[in-house]
Amino acid sequence: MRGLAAVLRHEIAERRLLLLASPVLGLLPLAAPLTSAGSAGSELRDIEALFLALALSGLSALLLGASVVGADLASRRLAFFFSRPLTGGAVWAGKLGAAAICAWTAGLLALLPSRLFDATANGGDGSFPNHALLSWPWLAIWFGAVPLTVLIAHHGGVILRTRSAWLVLDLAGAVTVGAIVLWTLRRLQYWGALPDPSPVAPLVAIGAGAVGIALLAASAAQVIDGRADPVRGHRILSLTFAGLGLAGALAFAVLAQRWIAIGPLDLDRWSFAAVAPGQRWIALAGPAPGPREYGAAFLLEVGSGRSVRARFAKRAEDTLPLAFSADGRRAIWAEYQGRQGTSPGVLVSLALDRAGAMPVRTPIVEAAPPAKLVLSPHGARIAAVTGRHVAVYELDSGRLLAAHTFGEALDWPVTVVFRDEDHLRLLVSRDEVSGEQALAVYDLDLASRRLAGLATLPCGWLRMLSPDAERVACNNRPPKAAAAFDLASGRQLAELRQPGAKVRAAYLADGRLALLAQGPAGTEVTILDGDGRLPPGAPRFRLPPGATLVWFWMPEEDTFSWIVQTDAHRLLAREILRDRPLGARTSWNVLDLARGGTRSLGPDGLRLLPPWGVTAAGSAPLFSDGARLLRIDLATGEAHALGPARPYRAPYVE
Amino acid sequence: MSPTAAHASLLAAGAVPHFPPAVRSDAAAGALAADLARTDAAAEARAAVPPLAAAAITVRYGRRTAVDAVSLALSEGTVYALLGRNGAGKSSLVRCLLGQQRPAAGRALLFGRDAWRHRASLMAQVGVVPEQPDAPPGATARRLARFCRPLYPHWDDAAFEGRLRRFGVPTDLPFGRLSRGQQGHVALALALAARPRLLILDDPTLGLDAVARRAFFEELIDELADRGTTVLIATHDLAAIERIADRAGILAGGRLVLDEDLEGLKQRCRRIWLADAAAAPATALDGFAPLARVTGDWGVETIVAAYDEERFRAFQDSAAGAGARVGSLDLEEIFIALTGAGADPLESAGAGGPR
Amino acid sequence: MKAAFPIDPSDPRPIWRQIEENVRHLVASGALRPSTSLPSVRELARGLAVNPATVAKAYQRLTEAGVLAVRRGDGTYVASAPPALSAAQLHERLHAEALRYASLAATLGATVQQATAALESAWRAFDADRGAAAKTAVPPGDPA
Repeated sequence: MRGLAAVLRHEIAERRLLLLASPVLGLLPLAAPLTSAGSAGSELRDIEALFLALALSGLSALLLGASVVGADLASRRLAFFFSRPLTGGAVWAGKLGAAAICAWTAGLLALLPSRLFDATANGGDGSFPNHALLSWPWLAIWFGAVPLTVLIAHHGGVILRTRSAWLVLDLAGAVTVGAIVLWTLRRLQYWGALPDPSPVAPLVAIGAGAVGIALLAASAAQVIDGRADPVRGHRILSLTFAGLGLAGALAFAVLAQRWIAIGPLDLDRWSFAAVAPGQRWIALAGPAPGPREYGAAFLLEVGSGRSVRARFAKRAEDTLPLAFSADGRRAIWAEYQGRQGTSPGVLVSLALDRAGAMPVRTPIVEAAPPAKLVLSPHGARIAAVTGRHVAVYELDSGRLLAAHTFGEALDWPVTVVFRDEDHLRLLVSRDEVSGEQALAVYDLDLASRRLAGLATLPCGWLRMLSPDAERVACNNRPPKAAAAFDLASGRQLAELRQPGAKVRAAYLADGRLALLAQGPAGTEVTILDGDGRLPPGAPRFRLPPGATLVWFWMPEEDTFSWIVQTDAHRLLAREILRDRPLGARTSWNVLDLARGGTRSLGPDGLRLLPPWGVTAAGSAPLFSDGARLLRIDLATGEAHALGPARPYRAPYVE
Repeated sequence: MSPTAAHASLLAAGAVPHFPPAVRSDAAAGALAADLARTDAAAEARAAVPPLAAAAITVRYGRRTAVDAVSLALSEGTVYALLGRNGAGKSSLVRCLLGQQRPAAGRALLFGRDAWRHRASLMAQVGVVPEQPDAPPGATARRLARFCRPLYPHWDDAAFEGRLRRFGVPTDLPFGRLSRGQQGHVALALALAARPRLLILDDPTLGLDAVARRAFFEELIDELADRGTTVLIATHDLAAIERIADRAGILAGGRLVLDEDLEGLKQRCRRIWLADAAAAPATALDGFAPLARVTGDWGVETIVAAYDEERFRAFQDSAAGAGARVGSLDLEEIFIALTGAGADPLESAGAGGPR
Repeated sequence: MKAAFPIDPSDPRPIWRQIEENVRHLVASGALRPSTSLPSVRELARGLAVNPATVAKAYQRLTEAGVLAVRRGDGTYVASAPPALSAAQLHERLHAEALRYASLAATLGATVQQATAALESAWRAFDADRGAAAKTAVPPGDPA
């Protein structure tokens, strides 16, 4: 320590002229008010003082940093210090520390006169710029930038002065490190680990910090181990800096690779899950370990455990739309073509039935990623819905078949249903003049590109189409009642209400209408026919106390509520075991529509994975018990583990 | 005859223009007594560890070997002259010995400790005068002393200022504005003020004029008289150093081709004249390890590295007609003969010839 | 008398021996009389620009031989009864100096007689110079 103090004292004393000149230079801004009167003059003075202080500080840091060791090294004067009983660390810290201290002090001293003038002349009110500088972020930047400048100047000074062949390593190292870091940043942005464009300030701060640490270590190694030998010093400086830089860049690349090269089971939890028809594939997304807000998405083949990374996870909790073809052989999703959040959306296709297939970009590019994708029954055409805008493409050629923007619609995705390959039915929500919500029904003929308005129904958001898209069940109309409408004619088929109970209606996969009546006595389920009529002998169930049919809110779907139908004859009911509204432990029961009665499914606490409703005969819904992915045979109640699972947060409100 | 007159007569040929009065005779006698009585156990124990040793030091710059496995050891109190032509590797060797440069192989030991690893603590006992004055050019001698004072345990301000006064160096001028000679004096004064046990001087008088050089060596002699410091001095000032050094080493091409006491060196390195070379066989002087030969119309002069008086007498007797005479060489002549332009004279003579 | 005390580094004799012999010579010739104080080791080393250890060695040998005496705290003095040079030493020294003189005379083209005459006349002048003080000095050629 004695040595360090001696070197510091000596080096600062060597530069006393700078420290003496700084406050004298600081007097210059005091002349400003003479040339400009009033408060403008005082502000001008402060700006000048600020500029002067920063310039002086920066220039001193640059010049001192470049010369304090470099000049001595080149003129062989560094040996003076090394032939004294001084440790290399004392020489290094003393010299570079003195340079930083002088640069700081010179800046502060240059500010002094105008501060003193402010304090005396203006009663210490102090005007804006100086205060801004003397607030902590600026001070931190200043105090951080000065030693960084000193170190950079030192490195540059040594390079320029010794001009040894190690310069090549310096350049090659800088280029390599820069390339690795940029490449890694681009990869992180591409995979959504970093926002794109990334915020510059934190990246610059981290980069400057890393460079500063590497420079610090390199200069320390150079002075301590290179001692008075300029070539050896430069070699050590270059090797250490390039080595640290390379190691840091590689470590960053490896870390980034660890963040990027993850599987669906590495996700912190699942915030999105979708099962493809046929149940062989699941789409999963959720927050991933790594930077904040990092989310990743996968398509997981349940049988083999193979997963394909997809880029439909926008951020940790947000996804772009994904659609499976009806035959379960193809997945289509939207992803950003370039920068996250600002670039056009491109549709990407993955052949699920081909082993080893990788995602392929289709020629379909929308100005922004669509909010919803709907595939035609044969999977040859796709409708992309972006808010009020609907565009229909031929999937393989990317040819635009039809497009329409519903200017009057609410900013809520238009419901699109392919009735066959050429005909679509569109449901558009809008506000009526009366303030009521209305549902406009259109038919779109792709062959003629004709859009025909069919009807306007008094129906809000809480609605559900029948599987054949001919009818719609409207809920919350009025608040505790429901109604069924024929879409083509706009005729009301049935009004469904029950005194004292809250009634909700939903179409089952076979076209029948399930009616839920939540009354004080419990929940009663009645199965009506498609037109909302009560046929003789219609099944009627009373759910066990505390049990309810699941009502899901699906953000990516247009309908607000679903009844889970597991197959043509069964409904899934959930029993809340403890009376907690959210995250309560549940057990699952099957309602047998044909025979009546309920059956309990599996252990308690299972999570049901979407899409909840199952249409294909013989298939079964997917569950997660937190550790495993489970397929439960509804007929027998047997659970089959398909593989490990992650905690899953269902995207619904209860 | 007064004592002072006697001194004057003793020193008449010593080229001292003015002999100072014998004010220090007490101290000198004390020093002599101490010199004579230097037998105490502690001193012997200390002498057992050489203050400076090189163990097979090798320095390479790329493919070039600047110092090639040089080994040497200085016993306490030795004044060692390290000689060598420019580029012979002296400075590299000195830097290794100072712990400023890491040898590619071998070790430099100061007081038995590795110079590279323990440089900082060792330097407290070592005074260094570099080839080029390396003190910060902006600092005055006084400021330099202030810088050094807290670093050394035995710093002697009075000695520092006394030396500068004797040298006539102003203490308030920046180091960079002093003359070359004054800079050298400041460097010596700084080195000596720390009362080092070992002095390492790398061509300290390079660029000094005759007067400055003389003053420099006088201070060095004073130091030797007062403290018996061990000295390693790399120098080209052969005339001055041969009066002071006990031992000399010659570096040539990075190798220590000679490492010998000066006394013995001068005994064995001689010139032999033959007035009539024809009267003696051409190989007559081969036994004396000839290094160089010059032929003139006065005869042949041969510089030999292995002179032996008895054998020379025998030779004189056997070749009486040759008119053989022997002469001595000064260090400069020896140095030139050993390292000079004669095509690799040392290869044939070996590292100093037979001893 | 301006007795020379040259140190000749090119002389094959070691410097300490040169100093020793020079002092012996000065003492023997009477230039340094008994009890005369000698310069300190340091002063003489400084004056001759030689290593003090060399001077110290010469002084030590001279002290051991009884030529010089050390008085503690008071420096080095010529011993009160300095021993004379041995015959062999004397012969060697005279011979060496004579050789030098002879080569000089021969170089200048003088004959043996001229050289001898010059030597004799110089001797006489030197003798006269020494005067009475020389009586205590050891005469050359003393068979001691």
